[in-house]
Amino acid sequence: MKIHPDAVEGQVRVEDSDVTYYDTGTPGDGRTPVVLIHGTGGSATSHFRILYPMLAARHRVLAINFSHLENLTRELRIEDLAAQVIAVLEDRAADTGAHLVGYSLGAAVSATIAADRPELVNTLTLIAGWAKTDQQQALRNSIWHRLFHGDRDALREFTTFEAYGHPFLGSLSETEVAALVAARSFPPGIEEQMKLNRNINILDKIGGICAPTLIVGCTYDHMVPIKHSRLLFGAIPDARLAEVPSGHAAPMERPAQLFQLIDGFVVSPQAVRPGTTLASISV
Amino acid sequence: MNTQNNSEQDVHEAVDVIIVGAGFGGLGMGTRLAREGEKSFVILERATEVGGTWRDNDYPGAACDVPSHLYSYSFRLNPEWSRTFAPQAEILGYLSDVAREEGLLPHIHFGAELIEARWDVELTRWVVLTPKGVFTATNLVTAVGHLSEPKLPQIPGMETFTGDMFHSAQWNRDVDLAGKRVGVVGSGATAIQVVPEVAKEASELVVFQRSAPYVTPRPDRAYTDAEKGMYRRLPETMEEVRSEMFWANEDRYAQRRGTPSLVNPAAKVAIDHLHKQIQDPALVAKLTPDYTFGCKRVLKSNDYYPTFNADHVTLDVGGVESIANGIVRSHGGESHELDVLIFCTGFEATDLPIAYRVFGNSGRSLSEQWANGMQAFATMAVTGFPNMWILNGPNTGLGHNSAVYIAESQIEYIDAALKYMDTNQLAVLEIDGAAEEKFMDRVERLAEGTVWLEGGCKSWYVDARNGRLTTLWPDPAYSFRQENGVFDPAPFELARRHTDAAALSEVR
Ligand SMILES: Cc1cc2nc3c(=O)[nH]c(=O)nc-3n(C[C@H](O)[C@H](O)[C@H](O)COP(=O)(O)OP(=O)(O)OC[C@H]3O[C@@H](n4cnc5c(N)ncnc54)[C@H](O)[C@@H]3O)c2cc1C
Repeated sequence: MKIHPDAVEGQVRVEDSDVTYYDTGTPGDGRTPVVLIHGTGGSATSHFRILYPMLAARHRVLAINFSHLENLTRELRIEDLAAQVIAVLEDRAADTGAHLVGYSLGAAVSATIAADRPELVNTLTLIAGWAKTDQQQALRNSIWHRLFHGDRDALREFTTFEAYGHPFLGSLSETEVAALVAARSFPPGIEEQMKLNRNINILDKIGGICAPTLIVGCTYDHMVPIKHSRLLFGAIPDARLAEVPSGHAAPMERPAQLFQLIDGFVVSPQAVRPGTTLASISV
Repeated sequence: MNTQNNSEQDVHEAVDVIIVGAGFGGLGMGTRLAREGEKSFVILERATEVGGTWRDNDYPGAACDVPSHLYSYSFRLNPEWSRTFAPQAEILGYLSDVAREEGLLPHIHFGAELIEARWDVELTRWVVLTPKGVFTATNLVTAVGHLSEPKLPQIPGMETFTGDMFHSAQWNRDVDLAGKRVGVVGSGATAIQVVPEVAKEASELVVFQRSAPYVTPRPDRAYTDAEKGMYRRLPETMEEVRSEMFWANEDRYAQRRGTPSLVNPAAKVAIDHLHKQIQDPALVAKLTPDYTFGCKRVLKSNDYYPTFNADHVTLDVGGVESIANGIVRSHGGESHELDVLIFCTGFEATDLPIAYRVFGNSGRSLSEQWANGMQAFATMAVTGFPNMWILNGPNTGLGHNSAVYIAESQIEYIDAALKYMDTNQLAVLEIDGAAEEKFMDRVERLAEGTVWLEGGCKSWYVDARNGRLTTLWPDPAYSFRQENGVFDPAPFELARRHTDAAALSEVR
């Protein structure tokens, strides 16, 4: 089903692959898009099914699907994915710049773009992102590869277990958990992205990011523990930090809260001073 | 307990604030004032007990449908909630405890129905007439609820009904339903709680449905002693759960924007629930809604649908046409002989009775001013009605989250407005008319494209007089607090400057 009634689907050619995007606006309409960059094994629809329409009620939204580089003869690099996003930004948002929002691997890609091509990025939001893979992540990554080649059913369970926070999973019924497990898929390109995840290191770049930045860390994240968000917060000069009490799957567990954070930030990036943490909304 | 025996003529000592109504809204406002201890206040309540909604709606099966840990005051979390969705008596008990433990009872005048409230321009005070005397105050806070006036349909021959007849919010406990032939009119939030309970007693039950609701599974369960103990000993865990519930509800708001990719899966949950619980295709057809999911309140129940599988339960989809003695005829042409008729037909939500009783600085009633539909700046202040604040009035209802969150946001705002008056020694605070209009335009823009306006249903969210969404806040709940929870004096100062200028030109 279409991600949003107003979204127009299009492609931009990058090297020998087509990068798909969904845009609720058009170049030249003067509206700065909120640009959503998904994470490992995801897509615009799978990671932003709820967030996209929420944001689209107030903003121009542009989401991108990473394209699987089938003919690549070397290992996938973060620059390959960055090039795909950059191509779409140049095509769709050259006049306005972008409110770049990256999730997980998409956050690492977005941070890379903000560092390398600052003129394209008006603001930067990094959800469950990280700058350098550590050994806790490497161990999980190694289990992933083993199961990917050995036992896909176990991998489905393992990734479900890892992706969601315990308060969320623990509150579901057996059938609901089973449905989440069954729904996990392994689209083409996921293995290459998982290999890339083993070796992420953009530490030397991110200190140079000058865009106002919002870091969103997830309290119960096993995949990218919140420490990584705190490190990003430590490294990026114009950054403020928010915490969402979810697992890694924040866009699925807490979409409304992410919406509230992103909307508030892109509307007035400096409302919260750099170097400070955002108090969560009291309920 | 307050035991005054005042008569209509008694004039009570003037106070700073009169609060009208002792439900979630009024008790919340009272608690704030009592805790701060800066202002004198009274609470006028027409009934003989606190609780509002939760006092009146004591029908069998009554419970909240927003989880209790969320549907309660943030400043009085309650580790003892027995279930996810607490039953009515427990919520009423909670509110009674609040009134007692916060020291509100000495401030409450029971049986003191606001009959008339007038702004006295000379005195710059509100003068309120009640059967318990005359009350005056600088500020008037109305907290009379928007679902507190039972609404009965006009049915030809209604007065000839020979059996017992009552509204769900005025449940007649003297009527024993055992072995009786009972009719329930309505299929909304109340009916789905009432119907399974009545079916247990009645020998025959006819449900008169005009429009089928969407009913989703109700994730209700009892809390364990371990959970209650944890909440007692580690109150922060209660706050976490509360915040989880709040944001889970906010996620549902996205469905109300009418995006098919979100509405359709949500509707499917309800339709699957129906198909799982009802097999008879004719019955499934009757129970399948014909409008967009979310246009009317989405209901939660696990035992509503199965009730219709019982042989002694009939679903009549014609709607009641007429009544003659013991016979109720529906538009479908069917006749049902009934002993008891229960109206689960909701409340007067768009044309509030209180509006006919409140008169502003031009002597005009609020209902006159609202002839084309109600409206208020920031949902609380009305031009021409200085120093009056409406709790849970226009555009405060939520289709998807807790009303208490809304009320607390307003209490915060009103409290700040009162403090502003003190600090600046202002006798009068009145909202600028243009600011009020601007606010309403904004609300109208927010409502555009939502399922409430475009979902193809008739609901109490929309005022038939102007087609505007006047009862609901058409945005996420959190944005209500952001936009209406923080007092900004500017639009009030504007009104003051206009009046000052007018006065000055008169002098010249
Ligand atoms: C059956 C039912 C279930 C509900 N469930 C939920 C739920 O799960 N979640 C949710 O968020 N909301 C729910 N609601 C909405 C509910 O009305 C509000 O949540 C909340 O209780 C409103 O509080 P209030 O103080 O504004 O109004 P009320 O509770 O209606 O209190 C108003 C008080 O004012 C008094 N009063 C009225 N007129 C006068 C007068 N002229 N003079 C003096 N006193 C007067 C009334 O007697 C009453 O005590 C439900 C409503 C109903 C009817």
